Amino acid sequence: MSLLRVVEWLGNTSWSIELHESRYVFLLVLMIHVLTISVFVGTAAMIDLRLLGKTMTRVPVSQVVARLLPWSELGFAVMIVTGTLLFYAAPLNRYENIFFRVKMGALALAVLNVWWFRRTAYRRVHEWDLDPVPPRRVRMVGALSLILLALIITAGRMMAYQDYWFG
Amino acid sequence: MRMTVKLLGVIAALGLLLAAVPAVAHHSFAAAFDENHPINLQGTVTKVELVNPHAWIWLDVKGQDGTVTNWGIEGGPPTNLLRNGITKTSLPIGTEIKLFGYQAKSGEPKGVGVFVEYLDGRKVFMGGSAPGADGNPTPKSN
Amino acid sequence: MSLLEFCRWLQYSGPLHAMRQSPIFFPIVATIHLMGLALIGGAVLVIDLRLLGFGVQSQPIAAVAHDAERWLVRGLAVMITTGILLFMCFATKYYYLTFFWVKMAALVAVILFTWSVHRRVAMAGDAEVRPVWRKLVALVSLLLWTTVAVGGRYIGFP
Repeated sequence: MSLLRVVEWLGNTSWSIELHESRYVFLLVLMIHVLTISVFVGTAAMIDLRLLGKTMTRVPVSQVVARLLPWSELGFAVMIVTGTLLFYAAPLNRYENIFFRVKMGALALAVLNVWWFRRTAYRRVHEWDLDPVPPRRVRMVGALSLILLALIITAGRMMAYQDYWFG
Repeated sequence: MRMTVKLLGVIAALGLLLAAVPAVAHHSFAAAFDENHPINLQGTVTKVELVNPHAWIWLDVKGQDGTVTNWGIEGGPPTNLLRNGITKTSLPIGTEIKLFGYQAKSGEPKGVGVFVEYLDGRKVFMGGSAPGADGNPTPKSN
Repeated sequence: MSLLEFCRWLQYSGPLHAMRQSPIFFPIVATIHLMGLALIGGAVLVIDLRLLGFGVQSQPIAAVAHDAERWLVRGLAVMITTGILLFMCFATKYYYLTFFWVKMAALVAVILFTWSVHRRVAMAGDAEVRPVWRKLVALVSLLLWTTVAVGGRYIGFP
């Protein structure tokens, strides 16, 4: 039961075909997915910029996180749901798409980066909460997050060109 | 102001970096169609994929020397084709059609379609990225 | 010269034509356009979410508003630059698209709105403006920005 077989099977389900050939649903899901970048990446980027000491430096880091993170998480949930649907519309195509694989890799690393940060450096946020520019370790987390988010956006956009460049 | 300039600089550098990616890809890239290579095809339909985000029409075209090439022509999303009158059943396999479009830059038998023309003269625009695919006049430079 | 002729000139002008010969030009510009979207989104949400009453209210708005505005300007700089380049690639096609002009109108409207009414309300202290006006201003702002964004997606799929 290889992954390829599962993906092929998914693509042959009636809902997958209907979604792929849909008149409005696919485009609507795609629109929501792309526009939610503004919420998910937008608020995450503002948090990362605070970690880098580049914005809202008079606001404690914990407050920026408390204010914006819930929205980033909401945006993330929307991206996951819409992203899953977009994958399901043409599973084999996505599976074989090199840009999709890069995107998923970058996404996994981005999640890992946040998780690891919360478990380590952020546990001691009270030590640097009021610093306009947080310590170097914290800035590295913010920088890595921004780079990975940029990579996710890029890989996602380039998925459309797989057929042209690697087909 | 300085930060904005720095930001634009970083983005420009990123753009240049991204530009290097296809250069290391080992296949030809035909990301865009070539506006200087219009194609007039006539052949029989082998497959119609009315899928998002781009529909594809495949047809067997017989060349001057008798060889048959299977061409893949990209159109807009199903909603555009449906609006213009192309449904899953309006182009059955084996239908003889004419197709006007622009060839892929790579030179492969692929391209973007402007319109499908039935043998009785009816034209249906394919609504995609090709100039004129939306049915509007396309003033060209030359 | 009519608007359509101007669009044609723009689309087929020399230097741009050379850039467009490269098949990666459009994808890269489009990608950077999306990054600008994220920047604008973050900057707008920081202010408008607060105006709507969500999130922590304990910080005075002044601590945040100027920074958010600075990042909004940067986001706009990125999006307008890439937007012009994208437009030039398909100028004659966009000329005919209703949604393109709706997007442009909404963009002009939101820029004017943001730097007049919205700014005044955002920078004012919480005691100076009644909550209902703060919420209304935030909603108008979000509605206009959404119109710009949705218009953009409609361009992407004619």
